[in-house]
Parts: sequence; structure tokens; C-alpha cells
Amino acid sequence: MTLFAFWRIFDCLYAIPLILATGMVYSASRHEDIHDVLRRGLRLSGWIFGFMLMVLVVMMILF
Amino acid sequence: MRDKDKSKDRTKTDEIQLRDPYIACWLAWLVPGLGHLYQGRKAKALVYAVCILGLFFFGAALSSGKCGLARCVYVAMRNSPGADRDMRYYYLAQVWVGVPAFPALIQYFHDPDGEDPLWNGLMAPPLKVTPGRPIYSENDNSIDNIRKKLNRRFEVGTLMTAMAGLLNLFAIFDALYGPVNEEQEEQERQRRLEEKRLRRKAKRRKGDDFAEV
Repeated sequence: MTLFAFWRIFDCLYAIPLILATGMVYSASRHEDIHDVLRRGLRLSGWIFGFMLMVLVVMMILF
Repeated sequence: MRDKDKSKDRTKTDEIQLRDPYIACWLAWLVPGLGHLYQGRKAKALVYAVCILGLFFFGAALSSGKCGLARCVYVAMRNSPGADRDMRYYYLAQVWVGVPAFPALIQYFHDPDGEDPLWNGLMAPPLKVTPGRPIYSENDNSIDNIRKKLNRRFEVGTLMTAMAGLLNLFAIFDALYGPVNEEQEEQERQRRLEEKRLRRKAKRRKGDDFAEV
């Protein structure tokens, strides 16, 4: 069961382009300088990824 | 350090010349990044084009296969009760990507039942299944078979293409009004809070005066 759950984690890789695009586009709508866009976009993507990972861990523990 | 960065960013924001915002807005809707390219904001045009178009085409590629191309992007308005209830609300989000999502509209107006799709089934609506007409096989492109063939890739593709459309709304508003000036917004918020606090204070003072009388 645990192995199966671990295998399903690879499905979450689909989230990476989605998170990166969301972070970058949101950041681009807030800043004009490309360096700010990239830096803050990556930071926001990191936050989203961390938050989702936290929720995933909590759900794996609960269920 | 952060304040220094902010002031640098604000200075650059203040200098932006938004050339014909309404035309740029339309262009930004038609092709993500084109509006910014028109305004001469090349770096941002590249960011929007790569992120939004990349996400849209990746989602479309995920939902492609033997059953056709980009099967997660389609228009269907079948609200009849029974086996073939298929209302495609996701298209309301996908359409904001602009031209890349237009083939779905063309396919719908060409053949809403999906019996004779154009272009190898690119963004065509699934085959309409009519109860009592058993002409369909396991290889037809009804929604059940498409979902069976594509499995979770259908759902992931749908999510990605819909998100790409919604993200393009940010690009459209950016082409129209320019980037959000966060510092100005923060000042405005503080001013409103201060006004609210003063009003509350004045109201309380008025109440105290009445109590004294």
C-alpha cells in the first residue's frame, strides 16, 4: 500500500510546470524588470510547491 | 536590500509607456505575449508566451493520442438528460488563451455531434452517443472511450489548458494597465485604514458627548 502511494507521487510531477507557470505569470503581472520577475516568480513557485508538499504529507499521514 | 530593490523596480514601472493599451489588450488575448511585444516589452512578452503557451500546448499534448489531438479542449453543449450529458464549462477558461483554442470553436460549428471532425479530430467534441443507436464500437471517440484511452492525462490536460487560459487574463490586464504598483497599493490601503480609524474615533467621541449631555 505504501509502495503504491509512493509510486503515485510521480503523478505529482505534472504539477511542476503548472506551478512554475503560475508563479512566473503572477510575478510578471507585478513587476516590469525581468530579473525581478524571474527571482520573485521562482520564489513564489517555491512557496506554492512547499505548501502543496506540506498538504500532501499531511494527507499521506492522515489517510 | 528589499526596499532598495522595490524602489528600483518602481522607478522602472513608472517609466513604462503603454502603447495603445486597447490594441495591446486584444493582441494579448489573441496570442499570449503578442500585446507586450507590440508595446515593446520584449522580455515580458517572452515570459508570458513561454509560460502560457508552453502550459497550454503541454496540456494539449498530454491529451493527444490515437483518439485524436488535444481532446481535452473542446466545446460541447449537450445538456440533455441521460447518457450524453456533456456541458463543457472548462472551455470558458481555455478560450482566454486566444487563437490556440479557436479550433475547438470551428470544430463545434462544423459538427457539434463529433461524427465528422476536421484535422484528425483536433479539439473536436466527442462523438455524441444517442441511446438506441448501437453503431458505436470500442474504438469510437465517445467521451467514455476518450477518457478510458487517455486515463488521468485527460484530467491533467484539462487542468493545464484551463489554467493557461486563466493565467492569460493576468497578461491581458498587464497589457491594458501595466504592472500592479505594489507600493502604491500598500499606501492606498494604509490611507483607507487611517481614514476608517479616524471616522471610528470621531463617532466614538460623538457618542461620549451625547452621554455627557
